[in-house]
Amino acid sequence: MSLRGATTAVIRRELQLFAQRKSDWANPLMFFLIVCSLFPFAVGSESEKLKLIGIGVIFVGALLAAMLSLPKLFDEDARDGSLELMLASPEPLAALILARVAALSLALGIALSAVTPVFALFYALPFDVAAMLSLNVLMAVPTLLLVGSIAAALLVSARGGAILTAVLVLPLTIPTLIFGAGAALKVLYGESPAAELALQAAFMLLALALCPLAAAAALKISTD
Amino acid sequence: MGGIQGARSVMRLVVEKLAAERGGRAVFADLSFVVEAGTLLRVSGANGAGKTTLLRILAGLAAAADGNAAWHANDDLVRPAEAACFVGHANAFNDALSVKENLAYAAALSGHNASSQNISLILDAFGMKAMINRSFGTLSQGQRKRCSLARLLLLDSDSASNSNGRGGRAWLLDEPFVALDVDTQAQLATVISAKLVAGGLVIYTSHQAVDIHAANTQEILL
Amino acid sequence: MARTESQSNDKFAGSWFWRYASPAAFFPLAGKLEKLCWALAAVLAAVGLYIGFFVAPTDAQQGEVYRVIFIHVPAAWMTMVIYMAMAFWAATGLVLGTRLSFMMSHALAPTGAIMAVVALVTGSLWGRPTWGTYWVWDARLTSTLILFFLYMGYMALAASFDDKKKGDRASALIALVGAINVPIIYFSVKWWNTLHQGSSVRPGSSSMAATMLTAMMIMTFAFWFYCVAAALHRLRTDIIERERNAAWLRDTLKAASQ
Repeated sequence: MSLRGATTAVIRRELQLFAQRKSDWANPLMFFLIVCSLFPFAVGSESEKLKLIGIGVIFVGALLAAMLSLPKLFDEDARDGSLELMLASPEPLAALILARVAALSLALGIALSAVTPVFALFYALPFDVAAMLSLNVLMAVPTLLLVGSIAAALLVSARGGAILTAVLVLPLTIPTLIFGAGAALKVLYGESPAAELALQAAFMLLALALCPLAAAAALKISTD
Repeated sequence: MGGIQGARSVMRLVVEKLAAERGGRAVFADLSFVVEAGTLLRVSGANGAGKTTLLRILAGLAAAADGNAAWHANDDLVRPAEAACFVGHANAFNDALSVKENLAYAAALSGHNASSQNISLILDAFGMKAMINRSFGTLSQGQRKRCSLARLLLLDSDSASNSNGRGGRAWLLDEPFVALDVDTQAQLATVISAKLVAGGLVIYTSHQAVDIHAANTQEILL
Repeated sequence: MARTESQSNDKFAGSWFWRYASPAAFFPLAGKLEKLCWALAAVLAAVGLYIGFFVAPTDAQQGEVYRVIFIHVPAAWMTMVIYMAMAFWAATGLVLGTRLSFMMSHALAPTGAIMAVVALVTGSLWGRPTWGTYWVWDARLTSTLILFFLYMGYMALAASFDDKKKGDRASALIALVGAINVPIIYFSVKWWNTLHQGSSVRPGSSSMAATMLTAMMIMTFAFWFYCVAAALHRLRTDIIERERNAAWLRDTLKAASQ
């Protein structure tokens, strides 16, 4: 019962912080917008060309934007000492981390997937492709944040932590990238994206089962 | 459930041949002592002697290089997370959230269900009731310290409300008197005395000698 | 040191594993093994390269270019094997708390990364005449590239901690996370590759004459011994660095120099 109390408290606090600090979700969105609008300048504005790269650009942009939020998971808490409340809690640390990642995924995943169709317009993608892309961003953000929580936990308040987090996490997100963008590509080619969606869901479940445990171990290592 | 019972019982700390390392270098070694309920233990020593490290090990936040520290509640072994409450240098309050939100979060994480009434009652005791909805970042240093003290009492309030003469969780206080004004220092000393009288166990580190009224005191020099 | 020795009191007492889990006991043994592996690697490489370059026939389709497989394929295999070995020692270190296991992991990583680079460079040198371009997003080359990223991440993480003990355990954890992901990444990339382009000729994919296979096998063993020797060398250097203040090391080194 107190486990439920503790995890609820973690989620509530995270959402309160999101409500307090608009920049926590507004900045990743701005970053996403800017990254997506850089590419046409580099490759040219012909809509046929843009249609081909659009899915990839948007998906990578969303992954990068989500990744920028990873230091938020533990760094601020380590600075003000609240992390010790979590570490010293009698409840399992993995559950508390899961609650925190869940709250962040919820806020960030919804925000990023909500704006994805808008960016799809920039790249002349048809509506059904945009919708599929949006759904896959929603599924990819939790996977990325779960995997990323391990690196974020290892690099709590380490110098150069943000860039090293990216180096550690991005290669691990390649399967998510392949199948997330792949599902939208299938829709673009008029094929069924069922296999990609199933695999995408499988990755999320696998990450859900393993990552919080690894992140808890990581946090104990780095704060020891 | 053992944890909840543990929190309301007579605490005892047994430290045997404890050794700690930091960055691969030994900080202290072969440290053995026993602290019984109702005792105030002061840990003193020069900078870098490992005072904070010792407290963190006792709180279960850091691993010992050798030896062990065991918390007993009525002769049952309990986990540090259930036996002790650690207050470090940092306040462990988030600047963007209100005092009340911060306190409720801390209580929930340590397995308590703090009612708003309880929170305002305890804040009142520290003259902080008016600040309950202020965001923590807007408070002065002294007010912040008093908030940390309020959190200590809040986490104890379960056992206090069930007061059967037991002391609740042990307190591990790292330099609690630093940056406190004279009034707050006296207030903290009173709070600690009351905790000891109730059968609690308090371990603190301090550079300066502070007058705390206590029946049983111990001291270790690192 | 005290910890490793005290652990030998439990059920593994007296077994060879714990005896050599202490750096002091393993250091001289590692020295002997290292020399043996260098020698074997040199001999096998000489024989393998001779057969590969002078005895094996010219390939009917690819001409002389194919001979790069005698370097490319063993390097590509080794980079995978070494990652698994690294993860194995990382897991051993995390479970048993033996420092030597972590050091073994650290010693393997640079060799694994070098093998990945060798495989990538030889692969693209082979690709230039065969595919007409230095790089093709072929499934195997791409997986090797990702494996190279994982090695670099592991090494960067290990280096980012001032506290060696922390760095040991942190990098061990990331090695394990990587090891779980390697097969997922491998199959994802394969899927992606078949989806986006038809399969192309790959190094070593055509049917091979017996002498070619012999040369490749010999070269694989040569690479294997080279990797073990290089890792042991790095391990001994690491032991010397970490134990520079220990009395046993001074005695061992003095005895060796006499």
